[in-house]
Amino acid sequence: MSNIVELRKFVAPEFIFGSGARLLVGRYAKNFGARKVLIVTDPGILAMGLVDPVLDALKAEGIDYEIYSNIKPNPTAHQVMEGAEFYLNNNCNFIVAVGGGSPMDCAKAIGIVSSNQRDVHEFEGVDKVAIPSAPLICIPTTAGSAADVSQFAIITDSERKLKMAIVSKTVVPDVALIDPETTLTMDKAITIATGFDVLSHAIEAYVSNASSPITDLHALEAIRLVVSNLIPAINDLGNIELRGKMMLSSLNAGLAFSNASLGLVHAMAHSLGGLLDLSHGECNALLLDRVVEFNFEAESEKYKEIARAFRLEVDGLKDEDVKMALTKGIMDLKDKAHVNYSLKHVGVRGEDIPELARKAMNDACIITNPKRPSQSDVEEIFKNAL
Amino acid sequence: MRSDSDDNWDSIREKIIGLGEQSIRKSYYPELQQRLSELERFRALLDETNEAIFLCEVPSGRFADVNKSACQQLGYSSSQMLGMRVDDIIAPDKMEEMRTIIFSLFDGKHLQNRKTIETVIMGGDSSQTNVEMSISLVRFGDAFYTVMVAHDITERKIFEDALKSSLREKEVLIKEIHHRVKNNMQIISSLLNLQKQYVNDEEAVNVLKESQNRVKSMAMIHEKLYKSRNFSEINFADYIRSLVSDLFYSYGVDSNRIRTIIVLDEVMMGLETAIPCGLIVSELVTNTLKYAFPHQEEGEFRIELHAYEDGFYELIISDNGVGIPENFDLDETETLGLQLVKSLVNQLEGTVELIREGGTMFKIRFKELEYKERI
Repeated sequence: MSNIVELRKFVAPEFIFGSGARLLVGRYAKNFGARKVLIVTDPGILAMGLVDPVLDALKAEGIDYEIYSNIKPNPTAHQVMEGAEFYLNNNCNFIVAVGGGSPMDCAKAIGIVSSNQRDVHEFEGVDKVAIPSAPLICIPTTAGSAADVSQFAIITDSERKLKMAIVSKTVVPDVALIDPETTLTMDKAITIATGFDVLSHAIEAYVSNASSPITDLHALEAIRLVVSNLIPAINDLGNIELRGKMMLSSLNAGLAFSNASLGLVHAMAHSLGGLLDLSHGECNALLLDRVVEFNFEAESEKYKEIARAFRLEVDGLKDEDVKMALTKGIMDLKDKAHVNYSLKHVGVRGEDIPELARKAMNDACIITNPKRPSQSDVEEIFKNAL
Repeated sequence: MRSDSDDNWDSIREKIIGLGEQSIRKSYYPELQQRLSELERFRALLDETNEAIFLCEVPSGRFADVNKSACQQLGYSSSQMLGMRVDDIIAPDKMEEMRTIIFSLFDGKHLQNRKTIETVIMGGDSSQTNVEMSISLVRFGDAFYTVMVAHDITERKIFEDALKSSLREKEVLIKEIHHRVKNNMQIISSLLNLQKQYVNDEEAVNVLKESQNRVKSMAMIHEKLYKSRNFSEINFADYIRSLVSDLFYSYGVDSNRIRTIIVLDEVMMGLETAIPCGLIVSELVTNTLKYAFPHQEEGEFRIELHAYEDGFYELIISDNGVGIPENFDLDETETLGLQLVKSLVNQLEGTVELIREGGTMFKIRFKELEYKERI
């Protein structure tokens, strides 16, 4: 299916990876002409002191700032609008996001809401943003969302109980300062959830119908890194080497999925997260093997490559057997990470499924799934994952 | 790749990786921010002036930008103003003039040509303000705009009106004064006339009549003055005509017996010159009427007034009558009338010449007197 000469584009922010990367924020803000910076973060990150070095770096350059931290996991449209108002009222001209996917997505949305002076709902979908935001520097503190390099911002619409996907090159940050040291404070649960987010990003990007040889490189490398390092990392949370590798896998997966987009796992996970306010990484983990099962026949060769990246012996196996081996490989990884439960355990009920499936069908991520599912297909997958 | 010897390999390597202070990717944002703050400063300059400033699309007349003063003076928000057009803020009776100016600039594409007019702008509450507005045409790309700067001249207008009304008051006052002076002189003239009827002596009657005519000649000047346009000058030719006909009437002279030829340049003359000049005319005409044609003889009387480019006037009063006696010397005369003429000519700083050829001719040259301030 993939054609080497088919038109593809690859967009990535300028990023610096490595220990101490976050400390360059002052220099970057200054070079970008920052006068007053809005720092978008969440209360947990603030409490852990992860914002302090950022503040110090800005102070050292004599740059003024305000902090907006009224953000919970799965940030809502309301929080975005409040943040944008805060940004405008404080006459900011620059944004720095410090945190996981939630503050970073919220910062992206605050940026475009304040530059366009429109409601965040108007940006839902692909390429709906007219004016780019003020420059945005992302300092990720988790190895998962990769919002720091992606063209995605996921915002929860509490009224419709769904997650809006804003997909636009204008929300790609200007600079990502990716510093694995910031992830040392993640506890085991978050490390697991974000790890499975990375794995889902990588697998979905790799089999996406918008993938390219360049995104494939990053996707496969991300899968290899997660498979080799996730379990060691969750058993050795203070190991900077392992944290670095998980961060690198997140970056690779981010570069891949930002350009190749995602698939059914994310469409369904967004639907779940919108309805039940669940952890995004956890939703992905609970759905991943079921979607692989469904998609396998559409991209069997690519799934075979994924199996190899899982270090599974699949040479000479029939497709059906490769599928079995891969889904088992994923389930084994989940077991080792103690994700040995199902959707039912996180509160999903059978009667929620039609609504969940309907919302998943409307999610932008479903467009690039290798196989076009019907509403009943999606319902079936939800049922299997129950 | 060139490497400076001062720079060590490590630091150059850092820069190649992109970790140098100047390892910045291209971005116009800083430049843009700087321009933006310049723009903000410039905007403040515009907003903080008292003048209302409008940038207006041509030919649509729609406002593309307005400053804060414009909004405040007219009582609209800036977003309201951006939905409005020139017609909405100019008083309807001034709109045609405004349109003419804008289109004359636009049609001629006169970019360096600023026009200034006085007009009236209308606020949101229908209030009207007198403004002086300068209008110029500017061009951005392919689009033309007018920049209109309106300066509130309400106060100036109030002063102007006050000045005008004060001037009007003074005019009325001057008119009234001339009127009263004339009336008083008329009363004097009437008194002399009355008195005339109580004396029997012919000489006394004559003296009274002459005095009456002198007073009348002066009264007539005041009358002409308050009927003139500017209260400071009279049409002297007009005056002479009235004066001559008055004197003819006063002495009961039939204009068929003494034919009058009047040749007068149209001359406007100030009070200062007109009074003595009028008295001179009165004296000399009286002289002619009384003495030039005795025994009801017929004859010709001529009066001329010429104005020359050098500023001199020439007044010629002549007749073809019996002439003045040979032994008469103007410098030695004892008659009041001619003494008066002499002294009035002196007062005019002029000259008088007596010519005795086929009658009598007085030729008087003089200049308009400068008005001298009195203490």
